[in-house]
Amino acid sequence: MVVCTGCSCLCDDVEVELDGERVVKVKHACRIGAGIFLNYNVSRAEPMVNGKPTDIDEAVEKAIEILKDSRKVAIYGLDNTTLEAQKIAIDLAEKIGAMIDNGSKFGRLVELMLKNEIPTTTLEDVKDYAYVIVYWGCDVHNSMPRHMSRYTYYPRGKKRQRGYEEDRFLVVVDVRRSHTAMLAKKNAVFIETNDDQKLVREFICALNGGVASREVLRIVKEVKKSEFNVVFGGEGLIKGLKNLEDFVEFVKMFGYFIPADYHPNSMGFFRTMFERTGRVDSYDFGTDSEMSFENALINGQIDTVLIVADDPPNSMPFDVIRKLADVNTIVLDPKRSFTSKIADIVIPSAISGVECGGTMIRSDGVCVELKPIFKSKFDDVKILRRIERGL
Amino acid sequence: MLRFTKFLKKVELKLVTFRDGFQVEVAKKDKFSDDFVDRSAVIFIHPETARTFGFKDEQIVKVSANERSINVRLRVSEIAPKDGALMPKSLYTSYLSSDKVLIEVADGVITKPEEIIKFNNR
Repeated sequence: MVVCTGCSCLCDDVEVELDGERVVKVKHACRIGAGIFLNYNVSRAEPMVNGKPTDIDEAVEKAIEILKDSRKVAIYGLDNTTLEAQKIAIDLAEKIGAMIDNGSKFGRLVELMLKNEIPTTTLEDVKDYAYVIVYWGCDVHNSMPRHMSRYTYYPRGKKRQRGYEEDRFLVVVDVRRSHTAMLAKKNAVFIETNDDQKLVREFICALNGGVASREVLRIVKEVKKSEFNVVFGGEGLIKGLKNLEDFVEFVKMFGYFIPADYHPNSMGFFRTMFERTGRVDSYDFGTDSEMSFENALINGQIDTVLIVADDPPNSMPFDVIRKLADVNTIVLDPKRSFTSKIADIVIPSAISGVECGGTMIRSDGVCVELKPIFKSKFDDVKILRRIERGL
Repeated sequence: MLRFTKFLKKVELKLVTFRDGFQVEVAKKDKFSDDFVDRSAVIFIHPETARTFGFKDEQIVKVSANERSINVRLRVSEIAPKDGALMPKSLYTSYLSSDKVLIEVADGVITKPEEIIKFNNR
């Protein structure tokens, strides 16, 4: 059994069949997870300095040289790497007074979870006890394909023996009829909305016995049948919430909240940062204050970026990406990426969970130990440690 | 040959992005493959919207925002919002960086990632 790092489900029941160094069969994984194992050796990054191929030692040495000569460094990414690598990256940021940030959008809500201001639970408890399950602003059928079948809606649990037809009530809230919303049939409601904030207030009103739409009143009636109800919020919810106070009030009345953050180890980064700084992300060790990666780059506050296991051009606004091409960019990534195309230094690394072990933390806060099928000479931990010592 | 689509004006629609499982699979495999382009350079339009504006399934369209434009394949699907368009989150949506896009029928070929990340300083 190995652990899949395709998303924050971190499924630990995946079986992999090998023929030498070739993965020939993957069992129990979803499309994303199976692809990671089957194609681990496709499109691998090569060590590069200024667009020219080199060896990994020279690439690391050149990275150290650039970092030493930098006025202000940003360390970015880290959601796809291990907790051990995240800790070294944070040490490194502290040592050189760099700013550090990750790519997940869930920071504000996770900070409230870590401060115990918003009730949360584990996926195992959801499986055993949850009755009303809300997916708000997330299409988990696509982003975390085994979420519903392994942990939430479909499995039978200790107190949910009769299956989803009778023992679960599904609610999907989205701006569109997503694949997840299409699953909302029997014992289920789909709410299409363009105003999440208004809907949150409507839920609060209905939970207090007030007036609301027919769908919201039906959901609230179901909520009152159980002590254990849960909301999974995605990036759509984060984008739609103008303030978090109403949402926190709603969750406290409703039950529990778990982020539907697909990044496999953003929770690891948030937790480690919180323990070290009291903040979960966007932190400048130089000034001990808040600093977001996007703003720092746009405002010309940084001259060197060290990107670990992330590909900002695939997710960030183009004006930010354009700035990334103007500063010194060092990237650690197992695969060829858009960042590697514009980076000054490319340092190939190992795929977490496939070629190197370590720990990741699921979005519900449960630690999962990775069980790699191969062992790589270089991984994020080894490379970051070498860079840190070189500085 | 006279084509009705030639008379279509630019249509402004709200753009929603999503994480498409198929697109994520090919992105994790190889971001410089044809499969990545097939799964990423695509815009989904709701059947009602397609009927209203005369868009057809599999048409190539030019999508513009912030004075930047790309050619992508249009797909008619009920997963798109009724009042907008839907694209998988990728380099293409990063390039547009907008919640609103202009869509018009195009004759060109689909934009490749290499054309987007071509910077003068590299």
